[in-house]
Amino acid sequence: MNDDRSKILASIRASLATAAGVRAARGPHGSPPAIAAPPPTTELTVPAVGPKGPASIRAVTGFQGALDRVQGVCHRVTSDAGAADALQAVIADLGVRRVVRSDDHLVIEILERVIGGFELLPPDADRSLLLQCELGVSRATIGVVEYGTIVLSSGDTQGVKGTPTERQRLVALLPATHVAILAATDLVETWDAALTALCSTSGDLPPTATFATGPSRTADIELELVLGVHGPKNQHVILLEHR
Amino acid sequence: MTASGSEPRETGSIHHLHAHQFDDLVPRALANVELRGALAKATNTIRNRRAIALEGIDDLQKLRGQAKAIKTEALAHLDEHLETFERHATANGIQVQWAADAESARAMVLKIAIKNGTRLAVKAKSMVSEEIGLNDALIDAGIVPVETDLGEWIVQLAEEPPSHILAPAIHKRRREIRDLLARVLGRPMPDDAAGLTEVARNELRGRFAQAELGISGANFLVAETGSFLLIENEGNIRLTTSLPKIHVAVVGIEKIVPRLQDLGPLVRIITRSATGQPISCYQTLVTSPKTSLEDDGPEEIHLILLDNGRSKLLEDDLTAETLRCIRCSACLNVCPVYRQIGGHAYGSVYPGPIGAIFTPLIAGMHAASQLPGASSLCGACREVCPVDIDIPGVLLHLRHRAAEGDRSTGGRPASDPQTAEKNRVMRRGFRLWRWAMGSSRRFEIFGALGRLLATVVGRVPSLAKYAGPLGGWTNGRAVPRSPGRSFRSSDVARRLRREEEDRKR
Repeated sequence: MNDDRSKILASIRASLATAAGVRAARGPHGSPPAIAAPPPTTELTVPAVGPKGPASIRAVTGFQGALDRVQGVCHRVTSDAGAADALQAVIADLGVRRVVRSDDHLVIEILERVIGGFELLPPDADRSLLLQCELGVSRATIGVVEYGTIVLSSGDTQGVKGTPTERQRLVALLPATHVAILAATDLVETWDAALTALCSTSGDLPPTATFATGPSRTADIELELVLGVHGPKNQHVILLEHR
Repeated sequence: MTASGSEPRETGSIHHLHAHQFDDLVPRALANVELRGALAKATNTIRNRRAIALEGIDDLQKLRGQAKAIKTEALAHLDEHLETFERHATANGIQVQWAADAESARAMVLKIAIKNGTRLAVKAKSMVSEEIGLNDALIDAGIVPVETDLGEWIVQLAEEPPSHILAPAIHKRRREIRDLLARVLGRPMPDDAAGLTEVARNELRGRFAQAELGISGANFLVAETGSFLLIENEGNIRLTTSLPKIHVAVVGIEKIVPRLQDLGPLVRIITRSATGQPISCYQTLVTSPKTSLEDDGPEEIHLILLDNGRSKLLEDDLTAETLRCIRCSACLNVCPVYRQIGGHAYGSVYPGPIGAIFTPLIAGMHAASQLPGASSLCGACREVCPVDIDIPGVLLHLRHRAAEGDRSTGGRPASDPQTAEKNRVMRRGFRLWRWAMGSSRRFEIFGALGRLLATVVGRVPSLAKYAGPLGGWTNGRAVPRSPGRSFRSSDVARRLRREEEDRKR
């Protein structure tokens, strides 16, 4: 194993040296090197994410439009009660009987307002039960305006590596329908900005972060688009404009 | 089965490589009308989707330049970035191992699998896994590997290799897939793609839950943070890396990028080039195993860095470009050769223009020297390449290596016997040609001989099969009608000659 490590590194170094030698021998009048000099290395730029203020209406409508283009559904609400109503409507529409939630406090609060009619499971329920759930509710830590993407981070509930993450990994993945709760102040403009925000909020990256854009899809059979393969078939985002 | 003690190898290896049969595989593929129909439809569709997706980008060339610069920089200091990656990933709790060749990588995966009592392993689609023949190794060890990408699952059930880097079952029509699933699962299947996809979801759900081990590749390794990024649409990679207790990723050393922020431009261009989507459904950034017992996710993550001949490509600036490849497969969809013969005819898990250069560079010229010939050098592959790999340049370079040899081959031709024979015949033919063109007298004699032959074969076309070394040209072509007499003896040519002489006077 160690042997392979030194073998590979030695081989890379020998090859790079050979290429450099050829380049030098060719001189300034030779053909230009295929591998040009690398661009100047910039330090890790973590542009400060500005203090969170009220999201602009442009960002909200932009996110909604982008999610719509990838067959996701965005519910814009202006109060926690509105969020509960939207969630209730989704559950009723789909005739869902078994719901699993993450352990995010906002998710729990909103679900408390939803009138029953279904069985609610916590994220640490038995896996065989989780596999039978038809709908999962969890929090999205960031929303990306340009693509309608939501960021789901998990794997560190105790905050060993930074800000604690919620328990949502299977909640947002196994059921056919996923409902994400997203605060409008967590919207950022671009995918790159979301990546930056992800490591600047906690100082460290969470064990796993998934950038999810719309329902899962495939085109493996005659390139025909089919929504809902192994991941969720329906992607709903409840966007809290008041938060 | 450990690599220690084995001799350092000049090249890597590719599982089930039979590129030396290229000449036999191509006519078979061309005769398969069903295949060509599926290919034409599929490649046209993806090509158009890609074109539409890229229309939306104002600064495509700038984005391409960024993507190219990132990969170029990563390769120029590959050793340092790999060490940085290892340091950070290890600090995050990822167990990093280095595999010099395919055998070594297979042994590492098996060791992890056996140690954890694996009976069932779920797999995310991975070209590196195909390259090293991981599935066969697992089966030999009594472990059942289950491919979970829809297309890859279909070709696994059909016991075929994938025929496309991105859409492994691109060569199959829908009813073929329906019949295959009906046969394997022993019950009637729905007719539509949505119904068949639903069957796959339900069939594979249980496998994800049972599997002790999840195996994946990775699209990018981030040196600065020790993370890796997995890009997908179906959600099977998320399941593969979430449900089993152990996750193993086998990744080529060229997948490294220096900084976290480098992912932005690459993610932006890879899906557009691959499927024509602005962005894929899921990008999962894995940085560490779960940190406490209560959390979700794998308890252990193993990452195997695979060389298998890659480091050798860095010796030459041109061949090094091949390592910039991000496996988007855009070059397959535009290649006039791939579009006719499909992926299987290349006899390599890496087909198409990128396969025609990557395969012989990894597995050696002696194993795949015919593949660089599978191109008309039209340049379409380079035009669409998101990281601007000079594929036609490398193809020519490898043809030269096969015919004449270069520094890397010690100045001797390096090829398989078939290519060597073709090159010998061609060299003889051109020598004869040069001699025939040497004087006007010989030119006239050979011209007359050619006209005579063309007239005879034109009347009796079946004679063309005796063309010998010219057979490669005459098979599949009609012999043109002979003009009867040469251009030089025509009235026009005579008048031109007279005018020329008049001017000289």
